[in-house]
Amino acid sequence: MLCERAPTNKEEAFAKALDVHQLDPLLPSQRIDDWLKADVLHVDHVEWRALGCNITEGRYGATLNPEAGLCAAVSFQRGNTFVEIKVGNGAKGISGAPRLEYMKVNDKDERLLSYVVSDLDKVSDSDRLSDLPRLLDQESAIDAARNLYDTVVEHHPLGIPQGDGRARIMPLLSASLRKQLQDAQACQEDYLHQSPASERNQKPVWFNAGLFSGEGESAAPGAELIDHEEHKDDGSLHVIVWLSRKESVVPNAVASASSWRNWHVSVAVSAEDGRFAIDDVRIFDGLSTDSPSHLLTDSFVGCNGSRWVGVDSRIMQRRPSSNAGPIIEEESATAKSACVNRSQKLLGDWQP
Amino acid sequence: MKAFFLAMLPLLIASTLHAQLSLTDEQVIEYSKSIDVKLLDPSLPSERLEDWLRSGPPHAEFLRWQSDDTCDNKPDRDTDYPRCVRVAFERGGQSGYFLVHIGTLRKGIIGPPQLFQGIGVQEPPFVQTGWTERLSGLSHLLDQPVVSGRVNELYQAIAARHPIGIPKGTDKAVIWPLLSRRLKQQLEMAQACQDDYRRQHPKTDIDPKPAWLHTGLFVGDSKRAVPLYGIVTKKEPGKDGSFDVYVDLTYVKVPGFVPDHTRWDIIATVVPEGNRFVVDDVRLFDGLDTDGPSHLLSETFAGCDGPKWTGEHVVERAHVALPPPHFTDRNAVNALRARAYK
Repeated sequence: MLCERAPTNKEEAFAKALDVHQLDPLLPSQRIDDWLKADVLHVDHVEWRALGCNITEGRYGATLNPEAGLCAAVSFQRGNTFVEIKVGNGAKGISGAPRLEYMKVNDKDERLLSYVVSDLDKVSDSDRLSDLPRLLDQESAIDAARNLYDTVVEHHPLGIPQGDGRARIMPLLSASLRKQLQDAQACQEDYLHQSPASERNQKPVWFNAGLFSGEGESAAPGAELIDHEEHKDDGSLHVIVWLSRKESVVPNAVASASSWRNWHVSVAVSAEDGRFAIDDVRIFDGLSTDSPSHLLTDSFVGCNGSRWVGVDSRIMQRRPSSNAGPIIEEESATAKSACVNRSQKLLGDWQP
Repeated sequence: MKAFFLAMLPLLIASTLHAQLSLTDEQVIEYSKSIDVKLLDPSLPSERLEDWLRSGPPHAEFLRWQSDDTCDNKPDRDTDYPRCVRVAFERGGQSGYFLVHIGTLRKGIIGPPQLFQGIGVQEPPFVQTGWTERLSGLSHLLDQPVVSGRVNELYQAIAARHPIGIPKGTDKAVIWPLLSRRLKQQLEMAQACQDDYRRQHPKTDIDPKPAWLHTGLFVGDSKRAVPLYGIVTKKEPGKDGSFDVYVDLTYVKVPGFVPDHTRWDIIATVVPEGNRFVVDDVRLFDGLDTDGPSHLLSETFAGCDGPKWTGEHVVERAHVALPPPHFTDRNAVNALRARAYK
């Protein structure tokens, strides 16, 4: 056993002692194991693993192969992000010169949508160690979207978030989106102030809408799943989030009476005051990016700032959900009742 | 009334959440049957998966739907797993299954459904017809005929009987129905040629002699002539309606201090005859590598001019030494490791 640990220790020791400046001249001189512990990275669960490059194991035994060099992997976690880095001084680079061989930064949900190991998994996210903080930061953008949709799934906010949902959602939003929601809230109150209850037939479209997930039943997704981030040509960062909802809540419903609605949103995230904040959300009716969609920030028609100016009745109509699956009548009616009553409750709170 | 709805609201929301998490197998299957095949393979027109499998190009005669909570993964970690439905199908004696990724173990049905790892089709017992990564490739695989039955029977008979040279007596009675007319004629002719050789050399073998006298015609020389068993593994279509059928053969000699265990492959070519596929030839490899030197069974009978033994053109094939039987001397391995690790 002692014999088997010796080369492992050798490779681990080699890897831990590597100077990050040798791996990437952009970084100041520092041992890599110290660099990983630095405040800039905030990583935990660091694990070193010898890869046995210096040992050749054949069919009939094992031999030392010093020419193959040394190599090791280090993996660690930060929040929902998992990182694997491989370093070595093998024959591929300048002989004996340590080099970064592989660096992969994955979100915890990434494997759930592409579980099969593909060639893409073998492609390094970057060949520069100095890119690691940036790659980790991008994962923070995913976490901002995850936090928002954890709340949406848990609270099913209707209209402009209120109460606990509001307390959790507002800090995740950018200043401009928060401002827009505040204006919309004021506009909504202006609408209620202008219109007696009996004349409120042209109410703002967002009253019963799940601003972050969709209208009608889509306001109450049952689950969310983070897919991946996309970098647009304009430099913006978008996180794709899948949403789903079981359309049957009828107790003891037979299996065939249930159906599922699957749709997705694209969350625009931007850096703001040293963190990632949600700027806007594009809500798609279905799974495809070709399906009809609308932006959260386009929801507030009829407002001029904090003033309710009203809209053409044609615009007031609900947007069609062309990709919505079959819905059970009983469930649909129940859910609509829930939505209506919830809105009424919220509206009641806003009465002057 | 309003108070009633307000009181019921948390219950309704809770029941929605509970319903999402408690997913029954029936619900998974019902959802999966209704998946649009266009989502699984954009080259296909929109249609329910179940309808496409039954009435579309695959024309499946049998379908079995099963919920697979972790897509064939062993759920041994405290984490979420992809969730699948397993769809088994059969048509024309071929069968297979595929997994459709429909969500996750903990979140239920969510995200775009997608084919998980591709589709394998086989004929009994475990003969691979092929593999496709696209749903639209399934019908092409199912369109292939069942071809390996006679090959399977041939190699079961050979493993049981170990015929040497051209089969005779009961060996012939068992093996002949599995061969093509062409191969049977060639073997009958070779038997006549062999008989002529015997007439010319009645007392002892004189060189040049028929190369096939002491070989396993369908399996190889020496220990390869006496396989313990043969397993048909896969088939590949040829250009002329024939199929190459791969057989993995095993020789095992036990007991012994060092067990002798050898595996090698042959490729049997089958051709359609009447309403069945029969063995028309066999490719035998000199070594263990199917990319290495080889010869056909039908090329074995040099030295014959029809039924007459002439002894001309007989080439003595160099005997290719098989690798020694695999044996791991653990003590030696440990000693090497210890030296390497110092």
